[in-house]
Amino acid sequence: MNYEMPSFPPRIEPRQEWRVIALTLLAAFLIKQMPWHGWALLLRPDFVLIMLLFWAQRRQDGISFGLAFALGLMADVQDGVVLGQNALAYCVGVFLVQHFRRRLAMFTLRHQAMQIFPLLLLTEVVALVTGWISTRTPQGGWVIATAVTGTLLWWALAHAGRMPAAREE
Amino acid sequence: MATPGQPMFTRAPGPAARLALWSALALSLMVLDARFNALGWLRAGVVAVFYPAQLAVRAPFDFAAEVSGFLVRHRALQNENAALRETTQRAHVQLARLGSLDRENEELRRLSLLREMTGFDSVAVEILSTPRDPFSQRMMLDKGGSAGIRAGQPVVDGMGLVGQVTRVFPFSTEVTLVTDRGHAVPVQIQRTGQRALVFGGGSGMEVRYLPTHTDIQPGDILVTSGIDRVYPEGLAVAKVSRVLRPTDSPYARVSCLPMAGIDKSRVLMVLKTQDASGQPAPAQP
Repeated sequence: MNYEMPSFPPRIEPRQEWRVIALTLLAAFLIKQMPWHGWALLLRPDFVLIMLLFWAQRRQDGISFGLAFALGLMADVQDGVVLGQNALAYCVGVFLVQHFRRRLAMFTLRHQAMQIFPLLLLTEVVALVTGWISTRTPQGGWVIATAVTGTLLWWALAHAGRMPAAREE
Repeated sequence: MATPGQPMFTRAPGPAARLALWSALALSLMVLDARFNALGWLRAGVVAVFYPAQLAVRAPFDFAAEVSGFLVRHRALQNENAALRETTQRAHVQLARLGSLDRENEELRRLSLLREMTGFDSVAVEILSTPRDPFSQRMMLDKGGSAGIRAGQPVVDGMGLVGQVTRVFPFSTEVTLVTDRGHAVPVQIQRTGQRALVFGGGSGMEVRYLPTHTDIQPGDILVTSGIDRVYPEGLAVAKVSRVLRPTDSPYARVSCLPMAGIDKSRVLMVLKTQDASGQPAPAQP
């Protein structure tokens, strides 16, 4: 492992960059809207959250909490849960990724994914716990399954999106 | 550590402070929504904005289903045709039987001078989306207040009771399924006429507060009793799957499975019950 600070990939031109971010987030939102059912629904990662965390790490200036909050509210309405539950979880996720961004960039993508997993689990648990406090008993631990699929999705996305990382040896 | 392109000393609040601010906003939203139920308009607004997107995403799936329908082989079509014909015939027989039962029922009611039975108006709806929500069993339907749906109305499929309308938006509706933990239905055991309450239990359902000596056995059908004036009488709700009679408790533990294809049916019916003024069971968790 090399310890020199990997440089972030060159900035995309700002206007272009926002267009890319908006399009990818919209795509994630639409994919989440598809009529999922059965096993696919249980294993469905939260596409919007993964995309948001990806950009929070990949974009040089990160992502604003306001955007995370708005997307979280949309997810709340989409899932029919208490308003604010996912919004809070998304904000926490974005904060954590941006906090550990420099540190993450020193690892290979595989090792980064291993650190994204507990992070995703934590955001899901935040949503679970806040939801549990404001409503009733939860129904089980699908959360771990979606955190696993979410990590895999993040890994694929990081590969495709040229996430800054140490080179694989 | 200063990020390039960002001044080293800023007067804006740091990330942790901003996170705290947004978290406080989220928590106050949650309190407003869960405790005071005060954000219905916000929810309805967001739903209205994204309704076209939901439809647009569904369109390719419907289209793909149509296209793949074209490509089905001739032989398969013939087989299906034969099977369908048989099913229709069987359905016709059943319909005729049901029709005669309906007429007989009507006559009996008139004879016994009970209240006038009115046939319910109903709306056929399709499932728009199934949210992944670990706390409750709900789904969204593709018609709403504009089609005459009101909160509290029962939702059924061909086999039995599916749930109850809990939130109505202009063009969509949220249904709480009978398997939701907060949902209770007053029922009758069809075989004996014994009244009971059946509660949702996640994937299945359970009958609570039945004394251990109650005459109930696996295979019994539970139908709505109609005494709550929310559900009309006689809708199939659940089938008893297991009965335990623990010695250390005054109540039997009865597990049952919903009759309706809770996670199978795509097309459902909302019954416009005459008296839908009954409170929806859990309007808001």
